[in-house]
Amino acid sequence: MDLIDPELTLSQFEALPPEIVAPLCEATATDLRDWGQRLLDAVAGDDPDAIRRARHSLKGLCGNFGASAVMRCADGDLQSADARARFHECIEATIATILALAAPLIPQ
Amino acid sequence: MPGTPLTRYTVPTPVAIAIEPADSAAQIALLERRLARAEAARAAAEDLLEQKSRVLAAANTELTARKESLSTSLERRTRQLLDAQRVAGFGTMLWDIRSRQLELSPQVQVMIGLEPGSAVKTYRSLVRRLLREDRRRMLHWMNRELLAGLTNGRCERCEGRADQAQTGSCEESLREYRIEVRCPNGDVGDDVRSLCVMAQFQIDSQCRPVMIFVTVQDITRQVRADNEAATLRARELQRLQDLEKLNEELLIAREQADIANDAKSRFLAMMSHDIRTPLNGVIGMLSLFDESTLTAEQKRTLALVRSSGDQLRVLLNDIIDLARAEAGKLTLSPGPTNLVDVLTDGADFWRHLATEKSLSLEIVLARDTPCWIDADSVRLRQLIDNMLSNAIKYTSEGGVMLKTRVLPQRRLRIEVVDTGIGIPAHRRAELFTDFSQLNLLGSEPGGAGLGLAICQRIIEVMGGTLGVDDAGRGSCFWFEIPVAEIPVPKRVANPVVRSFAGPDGRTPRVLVAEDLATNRIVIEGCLRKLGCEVRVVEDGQQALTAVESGDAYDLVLMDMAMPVMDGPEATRRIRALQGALCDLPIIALTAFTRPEELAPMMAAGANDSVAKPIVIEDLYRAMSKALAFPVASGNAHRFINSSH
Repeated sequence: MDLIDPELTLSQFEALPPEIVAPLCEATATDLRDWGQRLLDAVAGDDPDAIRRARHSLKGLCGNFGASAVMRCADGDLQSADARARFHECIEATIATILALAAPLIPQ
Repeated sequence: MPGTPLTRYTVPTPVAIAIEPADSAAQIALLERRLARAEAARAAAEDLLEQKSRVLAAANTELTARKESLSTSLERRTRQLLDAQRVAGFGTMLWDIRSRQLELSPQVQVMIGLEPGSAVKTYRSLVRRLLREDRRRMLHWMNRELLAGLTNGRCERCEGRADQAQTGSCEESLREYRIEVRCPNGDVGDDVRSLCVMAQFQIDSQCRPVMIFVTVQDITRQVRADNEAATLRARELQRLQDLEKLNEELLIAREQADIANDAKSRFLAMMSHDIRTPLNGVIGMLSLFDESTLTAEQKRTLALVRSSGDQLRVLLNDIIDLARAEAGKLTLSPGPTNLVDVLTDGADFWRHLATEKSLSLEIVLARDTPCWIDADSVRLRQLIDNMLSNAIKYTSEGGVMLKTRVLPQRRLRIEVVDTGIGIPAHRRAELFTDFSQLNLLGSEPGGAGLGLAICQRIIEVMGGTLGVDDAGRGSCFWFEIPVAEIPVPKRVANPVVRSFAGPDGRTPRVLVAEDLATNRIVIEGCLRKLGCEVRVVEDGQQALTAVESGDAYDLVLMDMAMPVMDGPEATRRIRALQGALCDLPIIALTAFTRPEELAPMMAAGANDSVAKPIVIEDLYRAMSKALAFPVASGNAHRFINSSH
């Protein structure tokens, strides 16, 4: 399964004014890391509301880029250290892929 | 050789000879010599005669033996022929046309009820042996058909030309005439014997008919079999006609039943719609209660009313679906569907219920699960929801797992495995019938028992199958459907970019409430492309404040789930404002797409919704609709959509 949907991501970027592509990438990276961590904290704290909230926000974020791999990890069991590590790796890989796709569209 | 006299040859007596006295001695001598020669000749002749007699006798003996042999052979063959005729129920007749005499074989005599050797010499006497009702027909056949080809005793076709007859080319002589007649059958009570009579002319060298050779075959069994077969056919035909008549009656009854069923379905659907509309109003109004002002008892009562309202709405939706299915109007709207999204959305929706019951809810997707398929996403989600809700409802500990498996021949299997009470094998069939509740030990009552019946109908329309297996501990509900994997849908690379502009050249002012920075940037970018002025806030409270501040906004795009104050609450409060502000168009932004999920926002007063991820064309369409609607007086203006 691909990390993101490249066509959707590109069409998303291309539909926006070029000057906001870079801020969008930064915001995406920040949001993904932030809400990913919130989800892990909520799972660790066994807080169902917080888990639901975090998953919902991540879903909203990932939907912009078809980032189904992150969603798949988020929906899985995140109790073990291995699973949490994989989740982190998945988020970082997704961010890297989005940045790589966006790079040519960012005005110099 | 007995009975065969031989021909005897007798030598004639010597004649008297006159002798003269004068030369008597010489003459005597001469006579004696002559006599001696005559004696010798007679002896030789007698020898010859004796020899010939012996030869003739031998020849006679041989011929007699041959004749006897032939006669014996002929007798044997005649007997064989007669035996064969008897065994085959077959006989022959010869009718001499000139003498009008008949010669019947013994078998024919038996067939027509005569003792063998009885005298039936004429054709008319033969005809009298037949059943009365067949006699005229037989005579007619004889006179009109059999003899019609003959004129004045000659073959009409060749007119008696001998050459043709001799070469056997006269077709008239070769033609066969056939008739079936009946005669009393003395052997079997008053039954009749059926005979097939076939005749052929025998002609002389002048092509004149001299004889008619007739074969007679006993076809009683065949006719009886034919009659029985005809009777059976007639009965079968009658039965078929009866069945057709019954079928017609059934069709009419079915049409009437269908009409009644349609009427019932229409009635149900209309009633359900008519009930659902005010029910939505009731549920919507319930959400307007400010719970902070309620006592604990009032809150419990309110929760109960909300829960009952939700159950009633689910039941009504099920009834409408069932009525639609029964009316054959359950149709699919296939299109590009992100299967992974459908599965995760479904799981997300039910996760809170699972969490409340301390159940785990996991998704396990097979590695080769297709991402994009051509399917009806709404119906697919309905299936997932139904199966997940059932699994959670009937599981008190452990968890629920949503799994996918890719099968050969482009089929996808989706399983919902639970650790619940399980279902005995002998009761599984009941699961898929309308209004079926198994009431198993340990299960919680709830629902109308329509869910799986509706699922089955949807899956049937999809060309798939639905089933349930034992999962060791709990149950495994599954369905298999054909899926067509499709490439990631291509999006319009350069969509037609439109913008809003008022008649005075003013652009709409849009307030966006969204807590996620990424989404704020995306929405703001889209709105700028659409030519809007944008202000972005991060939660519902800020949105309410912005509206109350007196800034003239034409539209609010409101996220549903936000910190501090969520979208439904902010919308309710805006609708509660005084003056024109309460009519401000509000469009909900949400990743939720199901009516139930959107219900809180719509009940709070949102005009419309746009699904996330935001697609600029969808946003434009919803905004066009909302902005074309006249807003409150004093702030009313229509925006004209223009392309550039």
